[in-house]
Amino acid sequence: MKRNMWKTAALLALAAMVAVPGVRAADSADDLFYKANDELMQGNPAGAIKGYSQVIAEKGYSVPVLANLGEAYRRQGEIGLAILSWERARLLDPTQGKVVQWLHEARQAAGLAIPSAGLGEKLSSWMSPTAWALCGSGALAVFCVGLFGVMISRHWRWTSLAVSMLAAAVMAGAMVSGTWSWQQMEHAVVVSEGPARVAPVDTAQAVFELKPGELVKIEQRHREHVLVRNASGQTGWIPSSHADRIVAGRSV
Amino acid sequence: MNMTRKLLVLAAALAGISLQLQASELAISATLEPRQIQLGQAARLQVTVSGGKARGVEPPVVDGLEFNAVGQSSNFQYINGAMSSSVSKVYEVVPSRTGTYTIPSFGPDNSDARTQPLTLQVVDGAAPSAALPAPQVNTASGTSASVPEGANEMAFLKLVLPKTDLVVGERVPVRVEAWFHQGLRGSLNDVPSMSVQSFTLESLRKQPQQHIESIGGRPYTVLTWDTALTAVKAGEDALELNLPITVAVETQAQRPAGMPEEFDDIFANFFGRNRVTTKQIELKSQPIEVKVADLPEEGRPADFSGGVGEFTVSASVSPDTMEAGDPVTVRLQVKGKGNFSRLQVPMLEAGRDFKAYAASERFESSDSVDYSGVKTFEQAVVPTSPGKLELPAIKVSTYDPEKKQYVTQLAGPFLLDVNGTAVPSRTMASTTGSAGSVPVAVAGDASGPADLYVSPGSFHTSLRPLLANPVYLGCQAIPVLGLAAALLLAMRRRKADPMAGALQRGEVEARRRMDEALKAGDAAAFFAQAREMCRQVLGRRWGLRPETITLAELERHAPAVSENLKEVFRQADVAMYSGEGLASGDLGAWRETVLNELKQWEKTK
Repeated sequence: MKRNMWKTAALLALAAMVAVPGVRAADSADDLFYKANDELMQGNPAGAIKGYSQVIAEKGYSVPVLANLGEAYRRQGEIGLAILSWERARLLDPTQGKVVQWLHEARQAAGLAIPSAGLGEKLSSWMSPTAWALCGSGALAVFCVGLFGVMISRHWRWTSLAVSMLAAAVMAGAMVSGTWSWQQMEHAVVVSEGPARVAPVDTAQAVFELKPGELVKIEQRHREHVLVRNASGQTGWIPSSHADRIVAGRSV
Repeated sequence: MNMTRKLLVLAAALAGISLQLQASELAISATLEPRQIQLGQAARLQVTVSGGKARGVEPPVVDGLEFNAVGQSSNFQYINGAMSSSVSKVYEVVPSRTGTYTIPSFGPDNSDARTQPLTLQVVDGAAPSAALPAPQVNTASGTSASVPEGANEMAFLKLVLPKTDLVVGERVPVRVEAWFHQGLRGSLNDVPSMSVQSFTLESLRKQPQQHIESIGGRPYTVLTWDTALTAVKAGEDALELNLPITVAVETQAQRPAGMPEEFDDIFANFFGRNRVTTKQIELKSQPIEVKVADLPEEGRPADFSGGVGEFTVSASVSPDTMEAGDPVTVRLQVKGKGNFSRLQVPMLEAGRDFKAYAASERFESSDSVDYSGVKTFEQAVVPTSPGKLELPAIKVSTYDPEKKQYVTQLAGPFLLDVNGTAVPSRTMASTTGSAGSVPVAVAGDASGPADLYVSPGSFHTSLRPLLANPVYLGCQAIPVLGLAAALLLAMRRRKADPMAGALQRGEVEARRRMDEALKAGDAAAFFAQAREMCRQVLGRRWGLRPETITLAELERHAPAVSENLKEVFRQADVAMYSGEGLASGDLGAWRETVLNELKQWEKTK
């Protein structure tokens, strides 16, 4: 009995040791976020950027943090980094119409082409990618059960078929939305203006100019340079520091 | 190879080239662009002579047209042993009156080669033709396009200033023009600069705009910088600009006797007999006397904004109805022309019933030098108490140099309708943040979004969507594999019990025949097939061969079976054994009854 009591006490102490720092970290990250907001409202975007970046380092990504970070970058005049932050926020939750509007306005102000919203983007604006993914999984399960019903049951055949068709439609929506998310994930955003060159050296002939905020695809990497393809299909080499992937850490 | 042999080879080559040039046929062509110009403009005539001498080829005299030679170029080619050379002369064609002119064909005296006749249409400059292409060469017009007195005709610098009476702080747009005669070869060492301390000249773009103009028939390349000048100190000063340039001076040596004249340009360049020297010179604009007066002390408002120019002020607040704690944006716009960079407006200060955040500002220029446009100030204000709130008016005081007086304009006051309950004094972001990710309006400093999220929201450790997670993707195989397994199982069961499949097929076949009999109105066949269908279904259920199920078997196996099914068996026996004709009137009702009974039977079992 006594031994059990000691065991329980030890476990509780261990749990407290694990949980308390976590709660404190959460509090501290939230405070950092509010502080960064205050910095931004008081006209200090540099301080706000530092605060939001710290929140991301401590707790991870969230739409509000990324959105406000983008706004801080915009106020500091770094439109490429602003668009990168907003693209990340949109990837997390495309239903946030405000972020989509900010992206649209920033691109317009920077003289960048505004990509037309396809079916994938429209569907993605209905639900978050996670919700779509879960719906798609559920629909796949229902579809399989329905298909089984169609094949083995005579009396429930038409009902099973209808359910299967409905599930197939949801699955198709999830797949289209997922394809859009996947494509977004493959993109990188130009953060510094500069020429794209024919070869991965800084003295090579310039092929075309890239503007901050432009969406590109990174196709190849060579030492400190990456081969990018822009929206019009042109390819050229730029320093790897001039473009950042929307999903950081994805390898080429 | 010794020197003598080298000279012999060169002489032979020259002789060959000379012979081939003499042997080639002389041809002449002329082009005129544009074919239609306004009076006061000039067209460009290019005459190209190939395979012979260009000298002595001059445009004919045309009444009303003046031809000014502006350049000459040579082209020499030796391709696969074939020699060709051509000389082009360029003339500027200046008309003296409107009308249609024909430049007749012309050519050298020693050949029959002639140009084609060319037509030039000159229209009135005051009424240009809509189809007239943009002229490449413009003649000078007005007093601005003339060589300044005392300036070098080959190159000179001009400063165009809209006014010479300024006040301290006044900003005016200026234009700097560097004129270079087209025959002059040179380069800019720097951009124009000013040494006077009483003014600041804003930085000039490194790449000026470039166009061609003509003064008295002489073509000039004109480099133009548009910028602005601000008076910083009272007094009188002579405004003068400097532009350092490097010019190339070329001197051509005399052609040695015996050298064919076709080689004047070609060989002179090849062998460097043209001597080019560069010279650094500084162009100076003519000094302009400018008077700068101090801003008058009399009548100067205490809150003078520093703006000097002509401005109009407007302001708005949105929304005008809100809950206490919700932010509103006060937007003040100053439109007009003047020194926008110095214009500072004191926006609202926090009051007893509202908080005010730092204002942001942005400027949208409507010209290239930021002289005219709109400056927008935006400020976030948060009412803290419910009720009617009056935000005070914003005062903007500027100096109008045209009217020579201070002008004070008021924007506001603004009435707000504030609902809800009083908000405790915490930072607004923290206060409203508890409600979730609700955007709060905050003034932006540039065009675009002006809202912030006030709650950090839910966090994700990665930006990767769930669908990119390998575990998630792997899970998608579960229902597919489950379906495959279930189907496999069903197939195995069917394989193990082949009669079940056969019975099912028999049931479908019996039903099809029953429907055919119904259509044909054949009651005997209908009941026979209905019974067959019942046998198939019951046989599958009871594990019996269908043909073994009779009425007696039915009653033995399932005493509770409905009378309707028994009646089907009876009717079928009657039709089969007695050959008695059955009435076909209610066969449709029998069909529904049989199907319902069987369905019910399957369900209950």
